[in-house]
Amino acid sequence: MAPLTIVLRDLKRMGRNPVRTLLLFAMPLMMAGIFALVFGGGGASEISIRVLVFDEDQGLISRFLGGAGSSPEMDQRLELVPVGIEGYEMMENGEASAMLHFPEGFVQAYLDGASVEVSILKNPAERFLPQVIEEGTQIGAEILSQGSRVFRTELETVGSLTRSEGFPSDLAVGSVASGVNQKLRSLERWVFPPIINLETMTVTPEITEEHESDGNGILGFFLPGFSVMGILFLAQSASRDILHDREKGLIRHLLTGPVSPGEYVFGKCLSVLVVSTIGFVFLVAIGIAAGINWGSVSTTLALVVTTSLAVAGALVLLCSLVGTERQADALSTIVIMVWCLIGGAFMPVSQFPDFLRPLAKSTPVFWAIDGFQKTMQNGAGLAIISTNLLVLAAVGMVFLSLGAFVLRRRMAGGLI
Amino acid sequence: MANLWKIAVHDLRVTLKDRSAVLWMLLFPVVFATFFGLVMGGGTASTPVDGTVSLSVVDLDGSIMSSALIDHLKDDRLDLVLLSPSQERPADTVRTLVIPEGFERMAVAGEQTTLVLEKEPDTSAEAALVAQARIVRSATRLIGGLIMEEVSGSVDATADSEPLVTVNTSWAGSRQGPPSGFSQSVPGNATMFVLLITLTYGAASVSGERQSGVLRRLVTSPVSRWEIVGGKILGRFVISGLQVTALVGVAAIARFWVNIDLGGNLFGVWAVLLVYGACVAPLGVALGAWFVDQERAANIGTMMTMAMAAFGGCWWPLEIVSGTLQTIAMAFPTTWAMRALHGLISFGHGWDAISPSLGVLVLFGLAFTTLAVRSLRVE
Repeated sequence: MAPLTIVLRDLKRMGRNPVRTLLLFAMPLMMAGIFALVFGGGGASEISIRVLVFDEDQGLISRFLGGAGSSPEMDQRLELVPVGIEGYEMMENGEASAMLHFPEGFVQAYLDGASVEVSILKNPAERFLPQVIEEGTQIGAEILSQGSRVFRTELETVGSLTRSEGFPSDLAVGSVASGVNQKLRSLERWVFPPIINLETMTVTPEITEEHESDGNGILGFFLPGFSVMGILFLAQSASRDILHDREKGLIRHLLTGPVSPGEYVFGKCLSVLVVSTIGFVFLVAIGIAAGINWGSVSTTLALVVTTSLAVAGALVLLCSLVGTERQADALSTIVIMVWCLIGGAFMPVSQFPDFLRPLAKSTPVFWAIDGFQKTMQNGAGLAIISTNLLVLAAVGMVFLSLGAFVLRRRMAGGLI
Repeated sequence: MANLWKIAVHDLRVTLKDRSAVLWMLLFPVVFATFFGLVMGGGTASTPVDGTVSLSVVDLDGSIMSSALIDHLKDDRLDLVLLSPSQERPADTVRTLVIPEGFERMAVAGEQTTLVLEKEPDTSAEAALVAQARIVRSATRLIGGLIMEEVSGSVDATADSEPLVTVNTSWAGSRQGPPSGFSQSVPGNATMFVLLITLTYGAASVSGERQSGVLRRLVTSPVSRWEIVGGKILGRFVISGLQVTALVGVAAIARFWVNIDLGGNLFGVWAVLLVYGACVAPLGVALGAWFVDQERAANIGTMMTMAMAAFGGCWWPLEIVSGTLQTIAMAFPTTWAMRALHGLISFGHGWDAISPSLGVLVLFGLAFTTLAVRSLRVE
């Protein structure tokens, strides 16, 4: 009964300070929320690319680009800003993602079949958008190159017409139009629509028939990692109470009553485990309220319990190794942050350098996140995540047992 | 002035006695910067910034046309790994282009055929987009060859010749490419951790001294209220100054072993971070004045730091967020610190170019000082 009383006491203590408890949950939820806001569907589609266009040729190109940039769909994504030589200074000030420069005589040289060059000046403070512009321009350049070969005769005719004075004759215009039309008709099957299409898909291993496609989005991708981090800090707070009780003299008082050291240690270990589990259930519930699908109830529950066990065991062991609350705070914070970093809480493990990836598996954080990802993204059942569950449970049992053993010995030796 | 310094030095001494504070001040910024630097610059994931992207290819058709497509892909700065259809995909495969069976037959018959780019769930979005664009370009070249064959009646050799329209790329500023690896992670993490220490330990210490009555006892001594408030702000600044100096010092030493290029202006980076630290120091005092409970002040401070770091561009470049969030980011001092640092590191700018950002930081500092003075009650 004494252990249960200790658990209830600790829960009541947490309940008496709800703000403190809620703040511990607020952190992982806030971080997951930030990621969802920034990378979520709505946010991503609002990215606007600002491109300066320095067209020295003042010909068809700038007008064409201006038309393309002002279409309703492009308005929101692409902002094309005509500039002159001042564009270089604007780029030095980082006022756009890139600047396209069309040299004088660009269009005439293109019509004549000569090699032409477009210059792109990219913003070095940006990693992503300048690359998007470069790749898009490369595709445009390829289309123009191929078009130049296919319509060589017609383009040369247009080129000679633009050089001549006065308006071109009807016959000349008609012959160009007729040539283009005939070729387009013959090419219709290749380009309208393009004969080669590209589709992209995200592959997920072990896709089950029962599992619906993952509609969790970015929030669902990051929430497990941040939740595990949140529970680690919650368990840190709960396990630090052991040393807090010692520093306040509470343990000495307790042991004068009908509470054995073993019962106290068992009660505190159980308390940390219960607090961690309740905390995790709370985070799962918040996720569900936010529309997250955690997978089947059995797998989610199993992961919650085993992760809480591993987390509680780790933090109890850490607290058993130090003498003061401050030391516990310092040591456990180091361990938590390192585990979260290399365990994949902040970044997918697949994006780590080769030498870091094996290290990830040495942390319970990795096994917990991996289990949740398999369940949430792939609809994995208990059988598929059995390795994750076993590792987490084993880590928890070993750490908890060790921690309890050390605490018990230190209490017997008067060190706690 | 003497009293100001005494209060500030006392705060520094108390902070340095706290091992957790020292860990968060000095060790964790280095750990975080090292970790994210390795991930962003030393990982196996391809970095499109240097021009090449890895792509695995599975050719289910095995035709002349599919081989021609693969040849075009090889020419397009793609690091190709050819996999046989029966081969199990290696564990480090992140993107696979599947050329379907019947690719040539359908194309020749004028039926649309679809290439499939399979991406792993956690592949770099940047690399995936670049791979997509280059596949489209190669497919365009292939279609061009088919068209020329149709138009001229023979296999057109010009399809493989040099393109008529070429693209020449260069970078603005004196740097040849955006910062990556450590050059990207060091400024962002330094900015975040300076703010974190100020808003957590800084706020908690002020809050604790209010709670314990230390500030009330100070007032009974020959120290004016202004000296107390000023001393507290100066104390936060001295702590952040020590932190910034240590972090820049570590970066300066580490340059000899790893690639940390901070624009060749370490002093400038140090000075910008110092100005930034001075501007956010009063915010830590104000936060401590608002909350009596130390732990609550620290927790709120942590959340404020995370939000400002995320929205201010410390975690990811602001270019990838929506226009609305970019506008909101202007309200945070972290944004302006990162702007100044980008000016120094990415563009190689001088003081005149980054002075507007520094000016905004000073304005933030004045606003936060006003908040701190009004909020901190020592009576």
